[in-house]
Amino acid sequence: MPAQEFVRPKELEEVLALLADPEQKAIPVAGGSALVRGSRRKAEIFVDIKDCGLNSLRQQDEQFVLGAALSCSDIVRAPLPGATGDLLHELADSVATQPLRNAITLGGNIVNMVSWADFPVALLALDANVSIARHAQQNEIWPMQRLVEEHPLKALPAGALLTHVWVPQHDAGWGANYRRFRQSEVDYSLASVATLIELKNNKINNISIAVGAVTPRPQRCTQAEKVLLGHAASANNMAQAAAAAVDEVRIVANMRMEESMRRRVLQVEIRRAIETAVQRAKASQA
Amino acid sequence: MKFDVTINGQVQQLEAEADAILLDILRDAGYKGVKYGCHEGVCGSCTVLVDGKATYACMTFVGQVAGHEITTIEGLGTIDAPHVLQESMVEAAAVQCGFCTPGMILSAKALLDEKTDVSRDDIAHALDGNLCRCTGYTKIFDGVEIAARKMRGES
Repeated sequence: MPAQEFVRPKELEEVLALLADPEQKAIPVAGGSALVRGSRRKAEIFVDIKDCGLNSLRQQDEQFVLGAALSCSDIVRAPLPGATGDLLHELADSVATQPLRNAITLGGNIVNMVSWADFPVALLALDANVSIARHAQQNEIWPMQRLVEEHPLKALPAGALLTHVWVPQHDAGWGANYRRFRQSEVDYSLASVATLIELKNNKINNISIAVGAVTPRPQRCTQAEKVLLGHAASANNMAQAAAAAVDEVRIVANMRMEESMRRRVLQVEIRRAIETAVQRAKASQA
Repeated sequence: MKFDVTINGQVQQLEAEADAILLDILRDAGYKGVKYGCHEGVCGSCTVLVDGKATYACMTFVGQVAGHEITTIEGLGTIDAPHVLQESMVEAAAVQCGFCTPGMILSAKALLDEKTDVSRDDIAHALDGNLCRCTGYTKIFDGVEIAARKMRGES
């Protein structure tokens, strides 16, 4: 049966009530780009979530709290200082094309989590958390890692809505970089890397490296992180970390790029991401 | 369902199914300048402005624009009084088959309405969602630069 209604509630509770009713067969619509082309259009009610307060940005407890309905363009313009801002701005401004950056939302990109999705990779590196809301239930906070281990569309309970993303702020001493390898400026990612580094007394005090697009879902490179943690960054150990990362991830090939090429590309991009993050961390201390 | 939308400054009521796509409804309503190219969010020939932002009409449900303002190429200027971007594209010889041109102009308008002090990279980035098979883009970007200069009052 084709969709019967398209509604745009002004209150989140109304959205959640619609999603919770199994008889209604309602589906949330954010940017709409995945839904327009997807099979989930079998829903009977489309519930537009762009007007119920989920396109907000605030700071709370040394974290940025980003509404799930923020578009990539909104994030490009958002006042997000420090390494966190560098990472999210870089990512948001590189996604797809301008009309799609105006449509694609943070929440939609996370929940649909196609293999080339960009935000999940960065949010994994940032150790982000997400708020999950359901009608007449207490909100839950989930770590990004949980959404990555089991695809969000399977992990999220019926009627649940990802409403906000909580991202730690990182200021002086921190540097980050998001990189994508693709065959043209507007192509899907063929390999993506997010790196976040803290320098203290010239040594790497904190590091996270996450990769995507080459793996079925985004993955942290914990073995690679161990290579650098506690050490001063050098050309040698950054290259070693990149090599270790490539060894620990399960790389999948497809018709666009064979596995050996993906490994080579990924290794280069990881090394460059680490180098850039280190440079930015040093610059932030100046 | 009925959706109230402002199109080129006029409030109109569009009658459409709940899951209707904006591109199809606009063309049915007579806005043929919104082109049916790929219908899958790649080519940009269906680009319109929604509240001033470049948007693929083929990737948008009609319901998403209810209560919002849409600008199509028809709303930009006339033969006798073209918009500065339309003039500038002609001046730059930026039109060959013309199929991409409405989308290109609207994406450029979105950029120049925000800022007129634009670099070549800014133009390329703002128009990265509009493909052209004819011109190789150089003259299109020239046209946008010409329009930007005019809008800055420099020529």
